[in-house]
Amino acid sequence: MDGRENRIELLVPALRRFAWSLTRDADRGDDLVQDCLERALGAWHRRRDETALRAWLFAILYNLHCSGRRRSASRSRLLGEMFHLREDATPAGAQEAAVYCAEILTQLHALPEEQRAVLVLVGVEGFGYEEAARALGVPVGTVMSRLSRGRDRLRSLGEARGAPVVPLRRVN
Amino acid sequence: MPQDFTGPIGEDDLHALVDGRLDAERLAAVRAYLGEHPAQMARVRAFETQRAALSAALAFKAAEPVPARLRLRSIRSARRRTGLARARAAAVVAGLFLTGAGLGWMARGALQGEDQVAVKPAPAVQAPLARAADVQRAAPRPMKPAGTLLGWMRDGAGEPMPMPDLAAFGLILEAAQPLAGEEGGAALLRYTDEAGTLVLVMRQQARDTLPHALRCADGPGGLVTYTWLDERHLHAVTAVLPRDTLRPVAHAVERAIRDAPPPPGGLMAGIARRACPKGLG
Repeated sequence: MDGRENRIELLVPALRRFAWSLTRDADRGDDLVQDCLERALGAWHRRRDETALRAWLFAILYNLHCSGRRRSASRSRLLGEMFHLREDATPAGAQEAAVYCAEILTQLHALPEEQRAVLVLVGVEGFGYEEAARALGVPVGTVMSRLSRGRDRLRSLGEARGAPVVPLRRVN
Repeated sequence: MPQDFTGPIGEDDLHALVDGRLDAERLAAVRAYLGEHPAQMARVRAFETQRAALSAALAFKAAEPVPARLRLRSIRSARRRTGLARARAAAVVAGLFLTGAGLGWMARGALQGEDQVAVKPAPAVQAPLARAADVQRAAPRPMKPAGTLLGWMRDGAGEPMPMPDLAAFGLILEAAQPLAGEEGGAALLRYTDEAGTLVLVMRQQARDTLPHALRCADGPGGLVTYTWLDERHLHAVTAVLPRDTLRPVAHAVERAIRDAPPPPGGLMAGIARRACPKGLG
């Protein structure tokens, strides 16, 4: 196994996490990663640029997801889950952190997909803005605007549901 | 991100702060700004909390052991198996193509004009496969070599068609089939060698009466076809063979057909012109 394969193997956990954040389904997420790796191996000989390997792989995965998604069905299912969670959640004691994790994921999946992808790439995978732009195939300015809108939207979702997203303190 | 230390604080600065992408000087400027704008400070704190929460919530996925099916060696071996299966399928398709679509492609020329055949081989796949099926159902007619020709057959229009002897190339005539076309008849000869290589020879009535010499066209799946047009017929020799290998075969077929003596009873019996006796003037 050469150095490039080693670097790809090291990226598989992050690819799985990104795929799961897009699909919120373990099997579909891993299917996506598998398709991505197959495509990557298939395009192996055409690839010369070693510097943006991570962005290249994430771009393959994201494009595969976009080409195969069924946005409306997924959205309605996730919104249903969100309301269900809201009724049942009991954020208290030791369960609070776990519930909060579940809530933030539910809120994340209520976002438009392009905002979600940016939030995960930048905030979770640690992509720089330009690297995220390469992975998503959009200008850096678009990444920044999606990041801003996504974060604001996530914040408003948290506040609307009474989650302790951030302790506010008035200065003035 | 390029930093402009004298410019106003922007949204990009706030997010760069959240993502830890500000250098020290800009960071100080942004912090000073946030100290004076508590609403923006609240936003930034919410974003930071969000970011940490998302990382924590998704950490489980990256911590899971990677499934075996996502190992590169698994994917590579699966690709190898798939590639092998595809190669086998391609071989089968190539055979079918040669016996079926290849034949149909040539037959297509009878309906669409000869010159198009030489330059547009690809759509041949859609040509009438039924004809190929007819050929395969037809009982082969074993022929005995006889000099440069194995004998004669009559095409779909009833015209005699010479059957060249290609034994010098290891090709044995396996089947001869007349084909009826809407715009005239055609004849198909099928030769094979010991390795099972199939070479098809076809002749059909020409609509274009402008003769042309031997031409070659490459088709899908490595199909190579040589065509030539004489005064009355379009001829084609096709096989999945390199051009250099098929070319001498095509030349031999061309020579054999051109130099073929009239069939018993006369090639143009009943319509051939006869020289007038000198005495008639």
